[in-house]
Amino acid sequence: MKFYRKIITLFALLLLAGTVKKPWEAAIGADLRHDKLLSEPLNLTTRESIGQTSSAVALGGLRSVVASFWNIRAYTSFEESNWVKLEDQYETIVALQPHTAYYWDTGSWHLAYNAAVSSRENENFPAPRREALHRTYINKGKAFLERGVKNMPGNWILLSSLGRLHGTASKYPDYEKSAAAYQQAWETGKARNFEARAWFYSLARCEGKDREALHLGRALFIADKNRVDTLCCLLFVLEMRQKNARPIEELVKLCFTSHADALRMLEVYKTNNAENLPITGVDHAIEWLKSVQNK
Amino acid sequence: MTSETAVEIRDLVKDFRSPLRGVKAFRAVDGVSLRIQAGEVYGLIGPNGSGKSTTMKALLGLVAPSSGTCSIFGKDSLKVDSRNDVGFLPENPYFYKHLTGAETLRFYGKLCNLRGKLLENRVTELLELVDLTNARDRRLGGYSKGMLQRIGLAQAMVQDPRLLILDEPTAGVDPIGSRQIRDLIMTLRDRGITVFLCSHLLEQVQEVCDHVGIIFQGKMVKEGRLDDLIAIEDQTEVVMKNASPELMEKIRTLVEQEESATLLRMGKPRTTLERLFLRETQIDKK
Amino acid sequence: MTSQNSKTSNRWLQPRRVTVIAMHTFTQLVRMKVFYFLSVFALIVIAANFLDLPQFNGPEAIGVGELQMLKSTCMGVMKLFAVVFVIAATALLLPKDVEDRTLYTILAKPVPRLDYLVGKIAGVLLLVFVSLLLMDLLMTVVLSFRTNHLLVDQLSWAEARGWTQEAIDSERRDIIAQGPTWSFQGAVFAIFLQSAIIGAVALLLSTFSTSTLFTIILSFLIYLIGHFQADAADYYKATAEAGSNAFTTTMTKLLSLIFPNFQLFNVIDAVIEGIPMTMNAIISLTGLSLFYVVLYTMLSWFVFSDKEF
Repeated sequence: MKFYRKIITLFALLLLAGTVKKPWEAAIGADLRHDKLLSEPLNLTTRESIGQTSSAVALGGLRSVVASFWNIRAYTSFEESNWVKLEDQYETIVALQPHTAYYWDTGSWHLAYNAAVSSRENENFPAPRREALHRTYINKGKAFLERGVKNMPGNWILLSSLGRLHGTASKYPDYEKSAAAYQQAWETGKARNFEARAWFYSLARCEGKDREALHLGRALFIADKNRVDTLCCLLFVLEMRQKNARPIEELVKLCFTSHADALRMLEVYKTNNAENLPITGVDHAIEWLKSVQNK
Repeated sequence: MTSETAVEIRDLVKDFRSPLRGVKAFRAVDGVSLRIQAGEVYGLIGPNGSGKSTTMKALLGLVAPSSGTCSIFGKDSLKVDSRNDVGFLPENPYFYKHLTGAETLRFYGKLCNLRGKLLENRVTELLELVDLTNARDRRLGGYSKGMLQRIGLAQAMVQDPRLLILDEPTAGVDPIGSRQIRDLIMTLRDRGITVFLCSHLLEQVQEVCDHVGIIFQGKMVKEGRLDDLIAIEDQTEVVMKNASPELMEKIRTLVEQEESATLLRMGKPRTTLERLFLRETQIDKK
Repeated sequence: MTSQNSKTSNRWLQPRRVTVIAMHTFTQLVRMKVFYFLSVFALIVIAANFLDLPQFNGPEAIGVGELQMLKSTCMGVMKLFAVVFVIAATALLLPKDVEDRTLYTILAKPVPRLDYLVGKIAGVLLLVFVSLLLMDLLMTVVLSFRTNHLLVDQLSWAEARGWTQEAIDSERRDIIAQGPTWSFQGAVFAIFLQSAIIGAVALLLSTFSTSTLFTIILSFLIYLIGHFQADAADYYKATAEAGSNAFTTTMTKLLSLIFPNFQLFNVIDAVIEGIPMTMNAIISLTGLSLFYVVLYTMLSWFVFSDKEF
């Protein structure tokens, strides 16, 4: 009897202490969330997050170790070109550590780049299947990265990777999505100027967004550090495409430091255009520059 | 000094109840009372499971009495202060195997607030007393049973207590070790330390104790001065050396002539096996 | 013959006596060869250091990822060690003292039972602290070595590519944030705090459990529940609005009252990702942990105070 009385008293004391500590814990939790040290509780109505909760239960606080070991195992799958296994492994890894950008980034890279290219070159499959697999893995990589962004909104590295994936000509691009991702990356305030310029490049390739792109390009051009060759050339092209464009001579003066520079940069821009940047009017400009030079 | 009471146990009752089978209680000690005067050696004897250890644990506050009281030099056993003046050697003690003999004594000494030079001197002194100076820096894991028992005794004496409680101090120890422990108890008695020991080895109790209590099935059956308890008042013993068979015959006739007396036995007295063993091993050593 | 100690007080929590028991427990554990584990840790750190990660997306992303991996592996092992060790040691030591009857000899000295309990848990925590400190030291050395190496690599690469100063600075900031920072030390301290709480839980359990195995398993279970209960509470709160049953909601509420919320210690993961630990966070977590350790130790005493052997 005495034993049971002790146990009951013990629980009563624990509950009493619990009423003291619970609001305290809640306050600390809010503080930590405010300082970004604790992630917001996930939206638990979705199926995915329930899966994450259950793996959290299974491993307690040791998720990071397990994820690290799975990551090493996944690397072996990569070396063996076992893409099905690799995809499965990355699903587990991100379920364990949904807030480590590295895993989302690596997983998507494996799918969209390694698995896609490797499948396209896999001689065991007939050509149409190879092409289909290529496309499937690229889409998987994109979807994976998009989930990563959803789990870690505001992570500029993931957003930048997403912008690149959507904006790469060989990866079935969607320039609108690419521009949006780069824009978000830039707006986090942590990204490099590269993200801002990439946003401009993607915007310039969107249908019917010429004006928007031009405004962005002009704004970026103001800063010296943004005056890289590609940006200068692209801004020049967009300016030339304007309905009531200014005369070519004025535009060259605006966008480039000298005629010689302009000629050199535009020639490179035209020949190295794997990313399908707009080149309307570039030929005309080159001809004009050559004629001016010859004079 | 002799009038001071070292130990007082009054109507001690202890029931053990298993928490899961809570209905039926086992009564380990049933109304035991005893009083030990300072300076006495008191032996509590009884078969295994008769309540000896429980009585001692109650005296040390390791178990709480179901009813009755225990006190040491007038202090209630349930209070920590009562343990200032007591040293305890449990039955079959295993001390921390990772400590050496000296470290063990140091640890217990520190628990009793001894420190510095005082403690070091005490450690050396005690190791000498229990004849373990050579094993001072050996880990207890390598000690023999007898050595463990002796380091246990030293540990019990570390803060120089006025009362020692020894639970089966010689259980499992070989006769030589057992003799050493017995001699130690005698030395302690001579120093005026009160000793309360329990044992089921009656001969040893007989050798060292002034007072004896016999406990059986949780009850105190007999208690008193040892000499009073074991003397056989109506018998007389005569031991002679070099007696001839003729002399023996004469004695026999003499006794037969006396009406009130009866001759019970004649013959060679025997030494005890223990005494023989000790004598022989002693000679071998020399 | 009066003992010299009879006049000294035997009040509770005498620091010197607690220290004696704590140091003794510490020595006991050290002599149980616990520190051998540290050599295993050293191997893991070194192995993780030489582990090459797949290169992708250009160097701007790998650098940071590499350091993160190193940190998360090491921190994970540190946490694993701390939690497993603190539970096993606490759960083993108390029953061992009872079984070997060494507890009798200690309690037969003028030692209050509270002092004994506090000394035991303090000894175990001291060992965890020292172990974590050593692991942290090793980790910091390896990490700073790696960070410097990476910094030189990445920056020379960036300069060769003609990056603007601003881009280089941004890169440098990102790499340094992933190196050995004070935040990182704070996270190691958070591991210690968490293991202190779970150690106190194991102490409480071991005062009334009769089996070491039971104590160990239940302690791990509480560790898991501690991680889960906040999620569960959020989950049931979310579903309660959609009308779930009252029983589960009440149960999760009870759980969150009784068990510590270990989710707060997920700050460790955030620090691995490079988010700075605030002083405020360390202070709050220390306060909370202290509250738990004191609470559970006091409750252990409540059970232990009239326990019979």
